[in-house]
Amino acid sequence: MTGQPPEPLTAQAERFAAQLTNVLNLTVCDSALLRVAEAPDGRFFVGQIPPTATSPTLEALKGEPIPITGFESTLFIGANWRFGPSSTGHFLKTEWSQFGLFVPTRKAHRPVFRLEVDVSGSQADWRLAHIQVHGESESLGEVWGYRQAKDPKSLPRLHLPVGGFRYRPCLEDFIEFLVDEGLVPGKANWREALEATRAEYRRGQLWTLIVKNPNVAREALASLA
Amino acid sequence: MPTSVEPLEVSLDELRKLVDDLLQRHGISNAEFDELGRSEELLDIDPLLDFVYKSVWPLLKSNDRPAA
Repeated sequence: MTGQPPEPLTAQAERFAAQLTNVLNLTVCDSALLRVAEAPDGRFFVGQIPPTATSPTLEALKGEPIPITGFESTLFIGANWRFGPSSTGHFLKTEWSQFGLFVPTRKAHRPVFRLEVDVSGSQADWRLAHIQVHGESESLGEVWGYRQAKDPKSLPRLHLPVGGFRYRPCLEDFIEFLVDEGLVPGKANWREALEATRAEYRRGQLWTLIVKNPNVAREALASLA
Repeated sequence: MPTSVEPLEVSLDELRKLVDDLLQRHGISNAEFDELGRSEELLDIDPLLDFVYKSVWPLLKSNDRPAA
C-alpha cells in the first residue's frame, strides 16, 4: 500500500498478532499473547493459542479467553481471526473473526456479546459483520408475538448490522466501547495505546474503498479543486 | 511479557482428522453439524463446536476434494 513490495503473508500475520498483543496488554489485559497458526494456501488462524502448544488441536486453535486486568477470574476478552489471501494474493483478508466479552460458567466461558465477521457462504453484505447480544429481551418477545412468528429467534440469534464488511469496527473500537461503557477498567493512557493501530486499520480500509470505487474518489478530489 | 511466539503449522488433513474426531465424540454427522450450525445451536452444546463450525469448517469445505 506504500509502493513497497508487500511482506510475505506469514510475516503480515505475525506482525498483526504482535501489534494486537501489544494493544491488548497496554489497554485492558496483562497476559495477552496472540499467536499465529499457519494452514495451507495462505490461510492463518490468530488467537490466544497457548505458547506451549507444539502440535495443533482444535482447542489450541480456538485459543483461550484473555483475562481482564484486575478481574482475572471473572471477565475475559475473546479474540480470534482467520485470514486468507486477498484477491491479489499480496495481503491478508479477514475471512472470519470474532471478539467478545466473556464470563466463566461451570461448563465454559459464555459470551455477553460478540462482534463477528464471516464472509463464508452467500450472506447479504449487512450480515457479513454483525453483533450478537447474548441476553434476553421481553420487548423482542412482544414483537414476535405481534408477528405471530412460528419460529421466533431469541436475541442472541439476531445479527445486528455494523455497516457491512468494509465499515466494521475493529478490536480497538471494541476495547474502547468496553472501557467507555464501564464494563472493564482501562489502564493508564489506554486510549492513546490503541490509536496508532486503529489508524492503520482505518487507513487500510479507506485505501481499499478508494481502489474499489475510483469514480467516487475522482469526484471527491474534483470537488476539492 | 513477550509479544510474539513461533507460528504453529497445521495441515488440512490434520484439521479434517481433528474435526472428524470432534464430531464423532459428540455423535454428530456432517449433515447434522451443518444444520445445527445454521440454526446457531452449537454454542449451547459446546463452544468448541461453534468455533469449529464458523472458523475451521468453511476452510475444509472450500478445500473439499472432488469425489473420485
